[in-house]
Amino acid sequence: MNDIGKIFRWNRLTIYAIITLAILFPLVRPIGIPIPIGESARTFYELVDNMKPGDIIWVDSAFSLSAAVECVPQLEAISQHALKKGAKVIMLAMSPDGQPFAERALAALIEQGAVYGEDIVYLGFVPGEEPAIAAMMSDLHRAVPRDYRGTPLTDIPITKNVRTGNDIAIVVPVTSNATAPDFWTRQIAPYPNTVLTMASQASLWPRIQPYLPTGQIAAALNGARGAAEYELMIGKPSIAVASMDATSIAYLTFVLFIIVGNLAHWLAPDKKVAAKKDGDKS
Amino acid sequence: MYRKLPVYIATIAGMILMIDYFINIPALTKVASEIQAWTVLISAFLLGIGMVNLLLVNIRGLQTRRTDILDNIVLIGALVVMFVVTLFSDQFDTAYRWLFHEIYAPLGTAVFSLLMYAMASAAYRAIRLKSIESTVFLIAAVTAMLGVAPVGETISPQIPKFYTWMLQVLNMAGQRGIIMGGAIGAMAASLRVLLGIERRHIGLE
Repeated sequence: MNDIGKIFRWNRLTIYAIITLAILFPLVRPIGIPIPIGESARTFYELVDNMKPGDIIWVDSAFSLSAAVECVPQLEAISQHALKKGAKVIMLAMSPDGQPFAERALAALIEQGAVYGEDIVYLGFVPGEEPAIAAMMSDLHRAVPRDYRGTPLTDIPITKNVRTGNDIAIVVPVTSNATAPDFWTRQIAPYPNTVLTMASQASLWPRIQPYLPTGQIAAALNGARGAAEYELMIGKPSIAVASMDATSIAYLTFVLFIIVGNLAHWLAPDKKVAAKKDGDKS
Repeated sequence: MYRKLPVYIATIAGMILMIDYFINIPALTKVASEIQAWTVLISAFLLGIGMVNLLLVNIRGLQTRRTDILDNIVLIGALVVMFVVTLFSDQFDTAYRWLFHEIYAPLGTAVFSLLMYAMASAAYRAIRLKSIESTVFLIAAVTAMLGVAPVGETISPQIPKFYTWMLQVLNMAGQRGIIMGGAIGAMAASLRVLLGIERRHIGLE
């Protein structure tokens, strides 16, 4: 048994090499594992798809750098979809790391034909998290008087008539903040006509669950998987879809490591650890 | 009086905002709106204070030589460069974008990607069938991984269904408990601040 078990004793170099190859291979040679569309992503898509021309969508780029790989595709896909439906996008960044990505998304949208001030406006970096959200939702022009270019909001066609949360149709925080589901729900509650959604890092998915059945969060996107589903639904597969094969193979590899690690532990236990345990017992 | 002033300010501002939430008085709404608008300014100043504090700590580190000098120099240099480039972003627009998207973002993403190796090692060494708790943890970990990845549904349609059940029953029960407990704790803490009982946030016992 010990001899068979030794086959499963892998050192760190072996583990690192296997996981590196497992992730690189599908990036170089895509496999094309089907990506089923989940219910929450479909609901999210339909909410944006049912927007009427002129409706306001509030997109907050509020993620940290570690979540950029999941949140940037969400930010870009949702903004593109909203503009295609004729909605007006108010974009801002409530995290320092989210701000350059928001600017890059804005530049890309303008290149694709969006007119600044008429289709999209960018308020820049707004610090303060929950108190800032409360301030903006109660009186946007007082909390953020100018956009990132210094133009007064009263002079911009999109924002001149947007004063409170009641004037916003859908709010989309694209976030990696663990407390975002709580504080966004609190601050949107006084505005019952405003729909709150959430596009987040995958680690927030369990945190968002209590708010979905109650409708406090109408729909949510689950990390890179949610971004991939959304990209497929809008017909523009991009980075998120491309990363799904690598995600699948990586997770299968982790499961393999769990199985192999348990086989190694039970068939060929580490003698040093066993000796230490015996020493402790005696 | 001097030491109690911040307590009075916190109490008055908090009471105004609380009353404004429940009772519609136009004059009070105006004051509450102004207070809320000031939070954005105060938050911006806090970021500046944090930056100055970081600078002072590292300059002190340079002077006392208690920490590695190279770390201090690199941090101070990067902070000053990024501050200048961002402050004058109109003139240094290209430099700002290059520093963020070509230096900071790839470096940060690479560092976070190293977690992959830690997770791989943990999957091999730590997730073991040793006890009931570790078995439950193993099942939850495997289900979560295969439930999220598209390959899970390819292997079996039951995997995402089990994952969804885990999220919407087991997880939701725990999360609701945490949310309610956290909310009650936050209410208690907020009442203490509003009534002036809690004063540690201003340096008083």
